[in-house]
Amino acid sequence: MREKSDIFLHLFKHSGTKLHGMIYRLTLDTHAAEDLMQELCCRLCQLKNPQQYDNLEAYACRMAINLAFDWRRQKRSLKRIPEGMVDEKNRNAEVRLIEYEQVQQILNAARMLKGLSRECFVLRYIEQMDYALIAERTQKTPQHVRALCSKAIQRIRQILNTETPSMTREAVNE
Amino acid sequence: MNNYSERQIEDSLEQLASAEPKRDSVKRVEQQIHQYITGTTQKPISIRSLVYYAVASAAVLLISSGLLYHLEPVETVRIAYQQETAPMLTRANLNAAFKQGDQQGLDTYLEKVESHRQPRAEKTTYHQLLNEI
Repeated sequence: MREKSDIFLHLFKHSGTKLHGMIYRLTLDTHAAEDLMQELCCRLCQLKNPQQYDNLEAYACRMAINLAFDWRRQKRSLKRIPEGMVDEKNRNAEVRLIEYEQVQQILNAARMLKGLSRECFVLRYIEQMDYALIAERTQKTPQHVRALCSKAIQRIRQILNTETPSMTREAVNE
Repeated sequence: MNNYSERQIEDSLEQLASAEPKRDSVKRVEQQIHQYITGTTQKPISIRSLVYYAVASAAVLLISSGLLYHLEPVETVRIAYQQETAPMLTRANLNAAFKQGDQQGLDTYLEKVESHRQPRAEKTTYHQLLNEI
């Protein structure tokens, strides 16, 4: 049986970059992403018996999503636009700001989603994973995952459309 | 009221999916996690420290071998063995040897007495008996 440290080293060697990228996309903050990765590592290392998890990567992924949305709940202020999110050459500052705010609003709306629905939403629309792969991770059928993702998008749309008006592209053009 | 469509939300999320953390940030996090899990900061051993260790080991080896050579431990052990196995110069042993008339045994004791020249040995019953003889 492998030692605990070997298991976590293997996990972070193969999935560390993916987890870091996902946390970064959910927080849109470099320092927060680094802090949350450390937090994730600490929490995983506190597991008494990691061998009992069939898919430790999926467990770590779920934990990372929860950590990122917890961070988002605590810190709601908008910061600078992260580099690489938009093509800076072809867009002016206004459009970038609008897009950034839209993404922030969508992510804040995603906080309202419940456990499995939120996980499926993140894996599908942010991580761009296939339905079959998400189904394998969540131990559900692809149809179930598809339905959950569809409902999540509808719910987010509903939340966004009932919230207070913000700076949209149309509003700026007007 | 905002008027987001599902298509618009998906487009925004597609843009978000292309965002990646900076390479130096990823590297830094990888190092921190590795150090946290292993609990060590792995540093390569320098050639200078390797030379120091080798010289120190050789010096210790030379000093210890020189000390052992001067102490002559083999001879010391042999003397100790002789002392342990030689017949003890006691009054009972002398009396027994004398009564048995064992001349060789008496000579052994005599030699021992002569070599040591201990006052206590000169006062033994054996000497008194020799004088009487």
